[in-house]
Amino acid sequence: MNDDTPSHNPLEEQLSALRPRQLSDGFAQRLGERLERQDGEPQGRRPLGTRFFLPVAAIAVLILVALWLVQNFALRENPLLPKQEIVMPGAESHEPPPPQTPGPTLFAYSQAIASGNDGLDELLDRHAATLLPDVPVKESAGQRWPSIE
Amino acid sequence: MNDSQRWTDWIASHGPQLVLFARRWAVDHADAEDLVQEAFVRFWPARSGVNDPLAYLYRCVRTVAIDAARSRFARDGRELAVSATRDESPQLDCELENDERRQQIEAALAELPLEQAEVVTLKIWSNLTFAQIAEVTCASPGTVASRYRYAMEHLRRLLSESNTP
Repeated sequence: MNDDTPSHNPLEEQLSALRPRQLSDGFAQRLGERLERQDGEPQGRRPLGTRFFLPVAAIAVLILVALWLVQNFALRENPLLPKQEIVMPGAESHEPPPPQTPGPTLFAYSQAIASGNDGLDELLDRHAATLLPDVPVKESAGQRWPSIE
Repeated sequence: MNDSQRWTDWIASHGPQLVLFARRWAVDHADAEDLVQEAFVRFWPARSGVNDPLAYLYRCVRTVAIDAARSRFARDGRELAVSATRDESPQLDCELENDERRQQIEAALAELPLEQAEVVTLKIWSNLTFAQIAEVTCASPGTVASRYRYAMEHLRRLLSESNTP
């Protein structure tokens, strides 16, 4: 049985002869009032721009907050932890080490050799003094010797 | 033709059939009219976005009517299809001499299972196709056709019994 087949069903004809009951007198008026009320009420669905803009704005804010958190906490030291100062054993002061005297160069040694044994000895002594710990140096006969007292 | 005339044309063309359809779930005729009005208020702003506005309107009526029946059932335990407390007011109009036959037909319709009664109503008095009825009832066209066939057999048997003295 399908819609295209013409029906000669007596029962169908008998049923079709009856008409649905008519609407009540105030039906159209009541419906018109309800439709007018609906037109005056704000629409349930937000405009397309709002429906699109709000989620995008929310996602952008979340991304910015996440970046700020990463930048301020993940890459820096945790402010909640107490600061620990690591002190090297034997270090007695926080003063920066004195600048070291650069060691003699090959050129200086060649010049010293050319000037004689005295020049070479002086150069060697000076170089040795820079390597030794801070020990008072006693000068004797024009030469500087580390004191062993 | 402006919008205010259009909805009146819809109601003039389909209003009684919509109310008859809603009677399957409504308590009485006034309740059925309220259901149709509520469904129409939902349908009217959305009608331009659907392929078949008429089938969509009937579907709105069905949804509203079923929701109302479920609320009524949850509230006071009445059956989903109001057959136990049948409203005696006529659902169909006819000539006076055919009033007895009308009563027999309405009584037979009330005895049908709900899914058969709604298919018969949509096919006979709303003149919907099986495809449209399938869209309204969320069933396949084949299922709709089967329900219609069983409904007509059931009605024929009930009406023949009512004619038997």
